[in-house]
Amino acid sequence: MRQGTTLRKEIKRQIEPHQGEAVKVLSTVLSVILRLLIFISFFAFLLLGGDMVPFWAMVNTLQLLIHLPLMNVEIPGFAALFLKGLLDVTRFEFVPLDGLVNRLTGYRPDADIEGGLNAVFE
Amino acid sequence: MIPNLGLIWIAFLILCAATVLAGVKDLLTLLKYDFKAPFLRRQTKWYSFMSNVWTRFMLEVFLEMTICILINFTAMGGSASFQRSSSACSVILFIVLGLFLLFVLSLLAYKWYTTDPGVPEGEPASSHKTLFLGLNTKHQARSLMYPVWFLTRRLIFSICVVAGGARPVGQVMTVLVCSLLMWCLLLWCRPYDTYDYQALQLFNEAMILLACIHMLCFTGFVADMSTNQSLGFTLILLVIVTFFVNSLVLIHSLWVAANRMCAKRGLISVANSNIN
Repeated sequence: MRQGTTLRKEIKRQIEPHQGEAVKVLSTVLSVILRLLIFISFFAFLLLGGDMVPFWAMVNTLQLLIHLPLMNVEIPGFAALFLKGLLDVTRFEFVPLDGLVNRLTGYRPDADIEGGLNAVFE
Repeated sequence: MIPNLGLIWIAFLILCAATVLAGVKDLLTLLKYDFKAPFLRRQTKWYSFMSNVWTRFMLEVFLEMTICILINFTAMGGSASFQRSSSACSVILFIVLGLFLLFVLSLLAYKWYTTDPGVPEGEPASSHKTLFLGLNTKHQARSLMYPVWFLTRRLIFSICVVAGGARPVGQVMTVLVCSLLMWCLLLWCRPYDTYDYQALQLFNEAMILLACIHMLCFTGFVADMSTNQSLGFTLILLVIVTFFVNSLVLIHSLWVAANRMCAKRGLISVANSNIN
């Protein structure tokens, strides 16, 4: 690179490594608990014939809360990381099916939307 | 296959296949019925079951489906065969979602114009009972306002997220206003049949409203970085509290259901079963 070259690129959100690790652990633990709760309570409700309103209320509320980072706002990195960890559960993505299909078909979804959906969401 | 939709797309295909099978079975049963009777009275067991499964499925995956379809629409026109097939699938799903929204709206319109608001109604039709899950079935037109706004709000959210990236404040304000409208609807219509569910929904809506206010702060409204960091922590706390409270209610509900089941089978006495 020549001396005096000006680089113009947006610096993405930065997280301190120890903070990122702690948030990742918290998010993973909560995600596992949520998965277990969803699985166990769904089948328990089917067996026991109980009222499923609290079950769907929890899923619906978490769905909206966890999808909020899709908006074009500068959420602190650790908060975005935490919510991202729970995203698969509220999307009912219990098996990483998309990755498998993309590998089989050779399709790269990232290539379709250059630079992500918006400046802060990729 | 639609990118990012994953298991939802597979579940959709399985449901389509199950509906075809149930339809064939019901068609044979339906032939025995009196064709002079109104169509709604000629419903069969499988028709009702599949109708309820579809309704619940659509309610739960509506947000995810609309977001994925709208994202796919923005990337439409690619030359690869995978892109072409995913675009075609998106169009099909978009029509299905539109038809579902139209169905709920027409049901609301039907109830609104055919029932007297002062006279309590009977049980809803078995084919769409899940639409009234936990809702007050005595005043169905009023209660149906909730699922209608539930779906409309998710549609608005998806459009905001996918198309409103250039105006972040507008995005957040739209979601905030939708949340406030939901609060108004819950207080005005009182769609739930018990106070507990009404309180739970109000709590959940309050949490969403608080999260939206956090989002507003992240649009540059709060310039101080350390305040932003603290707000990030409170956002995490807010999600954990929502999860914790809802889990407690869920576990309590399971406990009541288990007690009821035990009492029914005579394992415990009715007096000890905590059944209200």
